[in-house]
Amino acid sequence: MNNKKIVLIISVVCIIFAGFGFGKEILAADTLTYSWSCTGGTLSDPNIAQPTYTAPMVDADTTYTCTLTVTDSYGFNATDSMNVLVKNLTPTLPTAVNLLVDPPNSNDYCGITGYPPVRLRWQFSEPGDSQSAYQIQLDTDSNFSNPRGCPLSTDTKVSTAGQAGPDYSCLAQNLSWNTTYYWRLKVWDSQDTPSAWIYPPSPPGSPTPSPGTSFDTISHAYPNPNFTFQDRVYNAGEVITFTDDSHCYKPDGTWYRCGTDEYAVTSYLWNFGDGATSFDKSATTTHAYNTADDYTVNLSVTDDLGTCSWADPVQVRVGLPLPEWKEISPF
Amino acid sequence: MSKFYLPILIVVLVIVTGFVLYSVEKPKIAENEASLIINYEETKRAFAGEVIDNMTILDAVRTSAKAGNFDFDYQENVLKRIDEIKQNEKKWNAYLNGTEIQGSLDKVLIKAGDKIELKLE
Repeated sequence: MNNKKIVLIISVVCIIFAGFGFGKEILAADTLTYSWSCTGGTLSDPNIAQPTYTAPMVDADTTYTCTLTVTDSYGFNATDSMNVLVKNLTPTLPTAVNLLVDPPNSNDYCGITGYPPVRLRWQFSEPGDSQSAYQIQLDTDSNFSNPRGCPLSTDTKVSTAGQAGPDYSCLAQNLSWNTTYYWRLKVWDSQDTPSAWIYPPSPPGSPTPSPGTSFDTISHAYPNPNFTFQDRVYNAGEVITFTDDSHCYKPDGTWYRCGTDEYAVTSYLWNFGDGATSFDKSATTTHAYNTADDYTVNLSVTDDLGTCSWADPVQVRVGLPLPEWKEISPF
Repeated sequence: MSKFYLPILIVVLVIVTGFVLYSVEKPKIAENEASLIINYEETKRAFAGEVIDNMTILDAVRTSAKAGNFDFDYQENVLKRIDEIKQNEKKWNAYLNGTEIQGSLDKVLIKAGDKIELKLE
């Protein structure tokens, strides 16, 4: 069915108007003339008792009105009309619009260091139908000679059964840093009818020709903040030492402790959870809590590309102030 | 000195000496206090102090460490190190009133009069 232009099925409605009721009160010997008219479509002969009505092609379901006037030999006439619903039975092809690439962002890029996690988005478009699958091809070649898929490298059809539309996205997990890519999309509807290849950006009503708009990946991974400290209960006023273990990345894939600014100038934001903050980029930073409570320590690190925060904050519980003990002679 | 007073003097000296020795060897621990002994095999250190509500054995170790200026490492419910003495072939075991503690030291509450002992064995 692909690329097959399906000819609109014309709904032929044979309207038998004999049941309109005209003539019941007219003498059989009388001579009657008939005059049909319709707001759309054509009649085989508007001046016979039972003409054939041919409905017009419609883009959507449309109601037309047909009127019959019957006149006898004395010049008396009567008129009646009825509505004819013409349905569009033409099968439609699925397509997608508004293909776009998300700019680098913390939601997708934080915590992923092996590849640029580019998110591709589109909107499924077929009135009254839904998307059942998609296929995305990504390639550095605009001819798509060696495409890879999304989300994985395999260039294959991906089911979206159970996912609510019409907005869909895919996070590509196999791209290279600092590279230009072309991409295209094919979607399937609930009848498993595929679309043609769709190229970005393809706004509604204006499909973009091949190869569409390309995009560039960023040069290195987002920062990966981390810190350690002795995991135990601390006392109020006790100084806690946090050791920074935040990794920032270079284009060659190697990492450095962000605070050293070895490749890019970074900034730190410690939030100790008690209202206190710090911008300390040192290998270690300290903090003391004054009140017994559970605290969450967050560290956000920003490099030349973006900001990420420690994804799994550590809870610090401060114990009650302990009484002071003294050393005595062993016994 | 007459022979009559010499035995009495000896008895008095023995009593006084014993009292003094007893006073030195038996540190005074108040009724509202508990004690902690760290048994390093060759040496011992002892600590004592007030017990407050919800105070645990680990709290006693912590406040003793502050008083005695020693470090310790308690991770994953295990006392792994006191000063530089780590668990290798021997383990740091904790006793409360002579009974070995099998669980977490921060879960066992102490009360006044309790005797905690940490032994490397």
